[in-house]
Amino acid sequence: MRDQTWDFSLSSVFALICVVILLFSFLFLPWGGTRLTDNGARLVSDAFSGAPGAREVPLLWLVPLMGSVAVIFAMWGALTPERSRLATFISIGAGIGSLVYFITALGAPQDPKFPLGLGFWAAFGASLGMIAQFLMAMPPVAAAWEGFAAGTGKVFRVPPGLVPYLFIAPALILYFVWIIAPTFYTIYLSMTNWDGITDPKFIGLDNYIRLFTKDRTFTDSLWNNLRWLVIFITVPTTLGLGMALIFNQEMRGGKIFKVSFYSPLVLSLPVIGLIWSWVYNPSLGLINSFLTGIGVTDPPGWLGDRQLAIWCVIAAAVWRQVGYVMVLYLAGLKNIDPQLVDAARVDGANRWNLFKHVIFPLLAPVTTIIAVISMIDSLRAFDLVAIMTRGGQNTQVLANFMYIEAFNNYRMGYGGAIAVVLFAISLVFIGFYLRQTLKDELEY
Amino acid sequence: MSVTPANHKFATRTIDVAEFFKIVLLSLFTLLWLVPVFAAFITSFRTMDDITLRGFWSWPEALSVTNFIKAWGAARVGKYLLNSFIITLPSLAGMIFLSSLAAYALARFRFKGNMLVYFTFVAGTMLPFQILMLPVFRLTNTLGLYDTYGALILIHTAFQLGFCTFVLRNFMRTIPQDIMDAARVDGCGEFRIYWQIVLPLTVPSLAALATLEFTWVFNDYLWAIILLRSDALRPVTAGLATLRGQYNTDWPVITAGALLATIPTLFVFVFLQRYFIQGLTLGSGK
Repeated sequence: MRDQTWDFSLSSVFALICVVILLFSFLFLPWGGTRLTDNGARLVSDAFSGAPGAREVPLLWLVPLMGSVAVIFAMWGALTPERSRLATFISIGAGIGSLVYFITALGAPQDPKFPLGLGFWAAFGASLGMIAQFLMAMPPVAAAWEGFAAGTGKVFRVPPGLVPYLFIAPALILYFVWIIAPTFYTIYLSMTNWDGITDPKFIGLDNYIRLFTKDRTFTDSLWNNLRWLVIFITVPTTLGLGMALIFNQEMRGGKIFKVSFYSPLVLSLPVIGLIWSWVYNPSLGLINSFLTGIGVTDPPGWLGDRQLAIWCVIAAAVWRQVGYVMVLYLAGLKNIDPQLVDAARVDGANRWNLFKHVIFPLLAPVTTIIAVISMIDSLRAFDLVAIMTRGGQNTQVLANFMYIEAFNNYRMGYGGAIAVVLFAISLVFIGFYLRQTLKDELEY
Repeated sequence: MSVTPANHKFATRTIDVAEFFKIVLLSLFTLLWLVPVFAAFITSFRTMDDITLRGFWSWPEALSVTNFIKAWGAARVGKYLLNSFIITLPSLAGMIFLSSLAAYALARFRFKGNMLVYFTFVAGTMLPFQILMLPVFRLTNTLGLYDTYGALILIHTAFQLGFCTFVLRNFMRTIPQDIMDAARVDGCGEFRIYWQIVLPLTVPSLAALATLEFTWVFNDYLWAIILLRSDALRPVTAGLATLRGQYNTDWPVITAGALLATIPTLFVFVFLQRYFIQGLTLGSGK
């Protein structure tokens, strides 16, 4: 029976591979031209927004549109075999849709300055493949493929010991190239005088010596990070815990309050920075216009005040963090066995004792995680400082200091040394976090 | 155990009064908490002249949406938002696919280096970006990827792999091995088990993870300013910084831009809130 039916599961997988090639070529490979910066995504987005120097690329928008449609349906088809016939028809349609662009582009007069690039041809092939996928589903092909797969299955059998490594390899390679190797490479760069353009020259520990003995900004940054850290592990934690305790009870409108408190979490840090800069604006901002309104004659300058500025930035950060802590504590409270609480109540514990001797100890794992996350976040602090003060007014923190030295002053080697110091401090917390994870792992 | 009617009534009434006060206090506190957002919202509908002349707390002279139009068009927030999507969606697809593959292997197989790989991924999630900045900058330059969407897509995918693998691996360990073994006995290949059995079972966790990662990648600012030079490519976070420089003191336009920039993540927050909250607690609880 099997050799007479159409088998769409293979064609869906094939279509998925084709459409991934299509989208990959569109995003990463040179489309019109030879450089990687001439990729299809850039051409279409420049043309779409009328950016200066944008080229005419008629119908190119069909490629990402059809590609996105096809990737969704091909995946759907590949995951649910009983729907793969419909998915196949839709992705064939998407293939034809993008082919319209390719035919127009090939028919149009070519610009000799920007020849059609590798990405174009790869995507062209992929879209032809998307249309040709129905061949894969035809009964003779499906039957032949099954026979072929069974045959190769016997000849090229992946050794079972290798299977896990094959699954891990793509992620691990990417991770190694972009995350692990750079971590160690920075340690090397920190011992050079690299300026970002010429080749780095090894200069030993000079950067570190200068950092620790001569650089005032470095010590100031360290202090600011320390301030950030102290505030971050105390204020949001207590506020968040308090709110979690309040909202854990059934209450009218509880949901609205909860949502209000964690809504700042979806705002990006630049947006928060801008909103709070406006709030702090010395003459027209929310706070000072309120203060002058009630008769204060000489309101503080907030972000313009060297003493106050760093606290203002931290306040904005805390405003965002409280909701996060609250969410984590609420989840922790949900996991507490109500019987334990009831038992303590029956024993006559009042609210404070209940909290102190039952609830808080049970929340200890959550508290630990929150403390570690807060410490790491306070060391990573960058966006708010960069947006609100650019590190001026005595608000410099290590992360922004490193950015300024490396990318504004082109002292990349020196910036690397700052990064390594930051990394070394983080390592303490990372180690702590890993130990915690390891403990969980052993209990498992 | 029985409560007399009179007592019962008395009890509920006191609770009502207490609850009433609690709600009033909480409402006030919530309003105060969200004042910066309201302030930005109101400002974006006014003109700078109006605010300068009459003060922030005055009744607005007129409300208009010109600031939003200016921010969307002249200040290019529309274009920046498009860039954000071009960067975020492929990163999201890439990190979910690659990390689910790795997580499957880490959760299902016992092999040499399993724990080492797992802990490498966990440790990487906590790295400060600064330690990666210089080599990644250099690498993108060497590969010719500097100033392309691809550079950002690659670094986001790579960096978030750690967290995604960590979360998915722990979720996949809760799936009974028997299901996979049964499929194995029926002659199903490992990739097919992953694709057609484990992945569909992981969907709830994937949804939460994808929602959270969407907001993270969408809200990234640092990598965008390190790896891009052209204004035409900037995602909305970096675009806002440009806008701020351009409209230095025209706060209504700046706040309008900031609010427009928030729409996609706000959409996620409103419609996918359950997943977003689940996502936030993914990494902390087991």
